[in-house]
Order: sequence, then C-alpha cells, then structure tokens
Amino acid sequence: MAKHVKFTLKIKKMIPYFFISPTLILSGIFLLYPIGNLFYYSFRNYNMMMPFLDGFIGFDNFIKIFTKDRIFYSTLLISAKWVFSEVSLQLVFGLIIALMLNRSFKLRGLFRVITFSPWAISGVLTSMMWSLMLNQNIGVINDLFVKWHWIPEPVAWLADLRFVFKSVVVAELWRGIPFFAILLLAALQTIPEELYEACRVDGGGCWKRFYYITLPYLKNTIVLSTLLRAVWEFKQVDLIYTLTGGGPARLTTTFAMYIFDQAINANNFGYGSALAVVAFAILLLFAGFYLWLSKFGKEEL
Amino acid sequence: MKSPAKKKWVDLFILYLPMVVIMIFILFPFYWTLVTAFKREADIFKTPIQYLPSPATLNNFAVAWKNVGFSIFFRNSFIVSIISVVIIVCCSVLIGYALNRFKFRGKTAFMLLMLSTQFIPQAMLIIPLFIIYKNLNLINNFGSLVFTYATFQIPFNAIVMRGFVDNIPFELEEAAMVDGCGRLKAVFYTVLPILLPGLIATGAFAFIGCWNEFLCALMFINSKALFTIPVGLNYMQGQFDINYGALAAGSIIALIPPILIFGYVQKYLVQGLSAGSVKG
Amino acid sequence: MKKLVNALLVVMVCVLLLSTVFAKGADKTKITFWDENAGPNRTPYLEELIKRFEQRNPDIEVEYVGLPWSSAKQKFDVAIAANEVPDCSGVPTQFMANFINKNALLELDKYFNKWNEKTKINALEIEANRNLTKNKKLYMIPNTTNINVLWVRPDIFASHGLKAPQTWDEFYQHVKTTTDKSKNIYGFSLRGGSGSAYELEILMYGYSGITSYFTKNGKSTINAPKNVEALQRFVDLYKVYTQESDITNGYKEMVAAFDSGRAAIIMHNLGSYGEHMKTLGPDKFVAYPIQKP
Repeated sequence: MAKHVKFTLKIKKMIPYFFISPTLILSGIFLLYPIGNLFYYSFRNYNMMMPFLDGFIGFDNFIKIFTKDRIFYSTLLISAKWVFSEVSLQLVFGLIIALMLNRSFKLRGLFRVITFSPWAISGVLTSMMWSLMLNQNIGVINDLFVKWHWIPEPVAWLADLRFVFKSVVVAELWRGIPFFAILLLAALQTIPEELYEACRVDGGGCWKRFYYITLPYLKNTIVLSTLLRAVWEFKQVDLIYTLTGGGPARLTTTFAMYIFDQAINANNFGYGSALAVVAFAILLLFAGFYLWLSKFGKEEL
Repeated sequence: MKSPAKKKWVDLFILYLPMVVIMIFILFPFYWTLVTAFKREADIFKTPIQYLPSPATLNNFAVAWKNVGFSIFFRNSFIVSIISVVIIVCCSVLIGYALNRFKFRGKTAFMLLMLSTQFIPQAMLIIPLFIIYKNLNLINNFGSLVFTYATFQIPFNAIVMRGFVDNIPFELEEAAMVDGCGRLKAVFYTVLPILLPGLIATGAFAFIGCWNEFLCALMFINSKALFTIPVGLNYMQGQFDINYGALAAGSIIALIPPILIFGYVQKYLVQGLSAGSVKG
Repeated sequence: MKKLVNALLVVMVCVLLLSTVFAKGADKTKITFWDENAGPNRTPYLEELIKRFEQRNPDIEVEYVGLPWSSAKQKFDVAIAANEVPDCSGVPTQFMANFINKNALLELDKYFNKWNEKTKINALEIEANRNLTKNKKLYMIPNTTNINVLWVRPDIFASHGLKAPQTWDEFYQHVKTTTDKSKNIYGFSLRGGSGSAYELEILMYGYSGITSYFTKNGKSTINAPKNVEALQRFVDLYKVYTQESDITNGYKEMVAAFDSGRAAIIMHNLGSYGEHMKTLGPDKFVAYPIQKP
C-alpha cells in the first residue's frame, strides 16, 4: 500500500517536468549554442571582412564599449526613450480599445478584426507605407495637414530634428496597439460578471468599478505584457531602419540598431557580439528587477 | 449613483471619443494601402496626390501573383504557420499551467531561461542557428523554420498563458475533482473553456508571428519552391526601384488569410464565463 | 581609363563562388544560381535566360534562387560563414572586396582565357574589373555597367535659360539659379541616407580628378584637399538649395523629389531611368554626363 502511494507521489512530482520538457529540450538545443557563440565572439576581434585579424582579445571589446564608444551611451538613452514611450502609449491606447470592445454593440466583431489588422499585416509593408505617407513631397500626411491648415508647409517628418523621433514612435505605435488590445481583451474575460453586479448594487460608479475590480484582475497580464513588449521594442530594428536608417545624426539609432549596424552592416561581428552581450545583460537585469518590483512570482496555490 | 445623463457624458469622452480617434488612426494606413494597390505605378509618385485611384487598375495584383510566384509562397506559409502554431499553443498551455499550478524546483531558472530567448537580436543568432540546422540536415527544409518559431515564440505565449491561468481560481478544478473527476478531466472541463480567450489570443499572435516572419524564412531556405510570403513581398523592394503598387497589392493578398481566420475565431475571444463557473 | 574608374558605380556580374558539391544526377549536373536583386522585373528575364542556357547545354540543370535585395548581403554573409554557398551568383561590385577577403570567390582567369566568346565582352570592362582587385585577377564576369549621371528637369532649366553644366562651378551655379523657394522648387536633392557613402565617394573623386585610392607610399587619398573641398561645397548645398528632408534621403526619396518636381537636378545612376519614364514620361527628364574635374 505504502509503495503504491509513494510511486504515485513520485509521478505527481514529475508531472510539471513532463509539461516543460519539450520546451526545455527545444530551448536547450537551439538557444544555448547561439548564445554561447555570442559570448565566444564577444571576446574576439572578429571582423568578417578581415578574418585575418581574428584573435582572442579578452575584455578589450567591452572596455572599448564603455570607455571609447561615444555612440554607445547615446543609443542607450534613445533606446530608453523609445521603449518607455512605445510601451506606455501602446498600453494606454490598447487598454481603451480593449475596454470598448468588451462591451456589447453592433459590429463589434468587425471592430475587433480592424483592431487586429495592424498586427496582421506584413512588416515590410508597414515600413514602406509609413515611409511613403511621411514623405515630404509625395506623402499624404503632409498633403492633408497642409489642406486642413494644421501646418503652414510640408514638414520633413523623417528628417526634421524636432519631429523625426516622434514620427517613428507614431509608426510603431500603430503597429503595437493590437498587441495590448487583444491581450487585455482576453484578460478582461476572466473577470467574473458577478463582481461587477455586486459593485453596481453597492453603488459603485464607473471609475470605482474600473479601479477596484478591473485593474487588479488585469494586473498580472499588464505586468507580463508590458515586460515582453518592452523587450521586443528594445530589439526592434526593421521599422526604424527603413524609415530613417538611424539618422539623422543618429537621433533614431537605438541600441538594437547600433548592434545591427556593427555586426551586420560593418561585418564587425566581434564588437557587435560584445554589444549584444551588453544588451543581454541589460535586459536580464531589467526583467529581473521588473518582476521583483511587481512582486510577481507569488502564486496562490 | 451617477445620473444616467452624466454617466453618458463620461462614457462619451473617456471611451467613445478616443476609440473613434484610434480607429481612424488604425484605418488610415489601410485606406492608403488599398488606394496604392489599385493605382498605376506612375500615379503613386505624382503630385498632386490622388486620393482615389483614377484610373484604377488590377495590374499590381497580377504582378504580385504571377511574376513572383505567390501561389507557391502561400502554400508554404500555410504549412509552416499551422504546424508551428499547433506546437506553440500546446506547449504554451502546458507550461503556463505548470508554472502556475505546480511548485517545482528550478521554476524561476526555467522562466528566466525562457525569457532570455527574447533578449538577443535575431540577426545575431542566424549564423549559429544555420550551422546547427546544417548539421541536422534541416537547411532548405521547413523543419528549420518550425523549430525556430517554436523555440522563440513559446516563451512569450507560455508566460502570457501563465497569467491567464492565474486568473482562474483553483477552486474550479477542486470542485470538479470533488465531484469525482480525475485531475486531467477536471482541467479539461473547467479550466480549458475559461482559458479559451487566452488560447485564441496566443494562437492569433503565434500565427501572425510565423506568417509574417521574414529573416529566418530567407536565411534557412535555399530554394524558390520553399520560400514563404514575406520573402515574396520583399522582392518588391529592389536595388533600383520599389514597386509600391505590387507591394501593397501583395500585402493585401497576404493579409486575407489571417483576417479570415481571426474573423472566425474572434467570437471565442469574448466567450465570457458562461462555460463553467463556480456555483454558490 | 580615368573616366571609367570615375564612372563605374555598379557592375552586376556573375561570379563563381567556391562551389559546394556538384550534385550529380543520372546524367545532369546541377548548379545553383542566386540572383541578388530578384523581383517582378528581373526574375522573368533571368528565368528565360536560364531556360535558353539549359536548352543549349542539356546536361546542365540550373536552379534559380531569387534573393530580395534588401537582405541579399546578409544572406551571402550567412552562406559564406556557414560554408553553404551557391555555385554561382550575381554580385554587385560593392560586395566584391568583402567576398574576396573572405576567400569566397573563385579566380576566373583560366576559365575566361579559354572561353571562345570572350571578345564579346568589352575589354575595358574586364580591365576595370581586374583593376579593382589588388592582385589584378579576374573574379567576375561583367554583366552590366551603370554610370552616374545628372538627371535634370528640362522644363525648369528652360525657364531659366540654362544648358547642361560643363564644369563643377557651372553646376553649383545652376543649382543656385534653379532654386525658387516660393514655388517650392529646389535646385538639388542630395542623398543623405542609405547608400549615400557610395555617391559621396564618386562625387569627391569626380570633382578632384584623383585616380587612385592610395598614394605611392600607401596613404589614403580620401582626405586630399581637393576631395575635402568637393565634399564641403556639396554639403553646403543642404538646406540652402535642397530640402531639409534630404538628410535621410534614400534612393526612393531622392527620386520622388525629382519626379514630383521639387528638385531640378539629382545625381544618380541610370538605374532610375525606369522610374522617371513611368512617372514623368519621355519629355520631362533628361540625363547629362557629370562634369569633368
């Protein structure tokens, strides 16, 4: 009898490991080697165009990054600006849409599909279309704004130092809203309708309802989705690359773009790997800190 | 209790108005894409800007479909995306549930491991991954794409799943188990239905992630018969010219399957709690 | 010879890369061919050419793989790094130094010398190709040549009574004259964004007339005073006679400025001929050779 119980207990303990094993294996094979590769090259002077210069140089790359690289610090700052503005804007707009789409009204299915569309359309089109719309000469945005007298003359959205960062932010915002809208909409479904009823009976108004009921239920989802979105936005390259190429004067060169520039364009793989390792460290610290701050990981079982 | 009139005003300003503005913001680039797709190449760069194509032409669609070989790309994208989505969603649910309902050693480490798949820019991973696939003989094979998409998309979806499972009280399963169900059945009948919106959401994101993925689809595949749609769309951006019309037309064609699929499943996104709830 | 070196911008050529195993079918030899700028315009042509080639050489089968230009270089880099390269491919000259350094290209001299149709290719082109490498070997068979020209709006020029500029001074004078901000017309549209480095280099050496990248003692000529002057005069045009957005102009924005009538002159290669033809029609644009140093 006792043996039987012990056996089932052992199986019970193994269950979670069964659940995670496929992913563990996948991650192990396809992740460890690339990351190891990255770390390996970060300690070498490997430029793919000049392979004869390759060799172990220890921490030289890292020292260069932190002491001699003037661009590095500015890209960090721009990345911080970028991530913060994108995530907060996308969250706010996504939340508004999710709240609206949660209600019953005619054609809300259609609106849900519309909300989903910027995410569903291909990335190359997003970049190209925004580049076309923001063009100073043949761009429709300038045309409309001038017609409506919002601006006196066509603006160089992607070159004017005052506007270029904001323009790129808007383009990426367009693409990112569906992410939060859909996720938050799904999360809103788990809130029991009874709670709303109870609140209404007790005399709670619209705001109270939102603050005391909706938000706590959304908290987990918001924490996770903002973290993930922040990491993704940090890595984002395609849109910025097509719209401005990182310019003018490196005003839109985020850290991710800088890595791409160094490793892929300049073929300076060793240095680029070192930069990527720094990015890895930054994101790891950020994720850990973020999760600790939001007191995540305290499951109730 | 606020008077109904005041409540209406609050609703209007805080929710309706912003939503209308946001909808216009979302729809405008689509309108412009549609217009561009139907314009003749020459008219796209002309000033004054045409707000409606005149004359309208279907040439761009023909170019996208015929000259580039879109029909093959469609088939390939479907195969890769569907297989990947099934794997991703299944693994995500398993992990999400395990992370939330079980205590086991190495949980935090595992979570951080998963998260760290997201920390490296894709472009830096291509060469090592390519070498791995080459050794596994998976270059020029859909397997390379499926494994890549699974490895890098499961973490995100799993973590989101965990959040959803968190919102579902354990009492539901307990109640079912008290009623005599085994644990598996309990989960199946109580948790999964409530999890359905989450499943739809992650399935949608996973599908789009695979459908629109360009870099790996280009790097790991070496033959025209196996390229996917994003590669085909990138053909429109040439060294000396950018075929905006064909790009817009091709993108619209590529948009149709995801929109159709999502249009069908989106009603499950707001299933509500009618399926399985705590009574009493 | 000097002119050719100054004028060569892009030479699309076919090169034999270090081949992977030749897959031998029952009687056919299979080779892979990568097209670095595939698209709806070029792919049908190349596929037709390949069809004819296969008809003439029935024991060879060619597999055509089109790469989108935007990521072609990256694809090549990955292939070379992982040693999974195609047998032959189209390669623009700008990648040549990169690939030669990586030992990815096969020397073609012995094949070329044995070729019975080698006189059909312009000898100057072959010579230019050899000169682009340190050891004067041939790594590519030229396919096309492109030269930089001045694209000009003849209507704007005519309204100011201007003719094709013969010297650089005349060029800068023309830019100044044709700029009319009240009508939102600028004399020039420069390419400040992607691809600008190539253009600037051509401009500098075209202005200064220096014909070698290195002096006799191995110093780079990039900072020669005439080159610096060329760059300075050019840069001074920005915002004064050009639009503000030019600083991030890639190829397409520059052409858009020209085609929409905002810029009277642009400096680009013949590759944009198709664009101008489509948007403007044959009468509204003209190409002038670039001024002599």
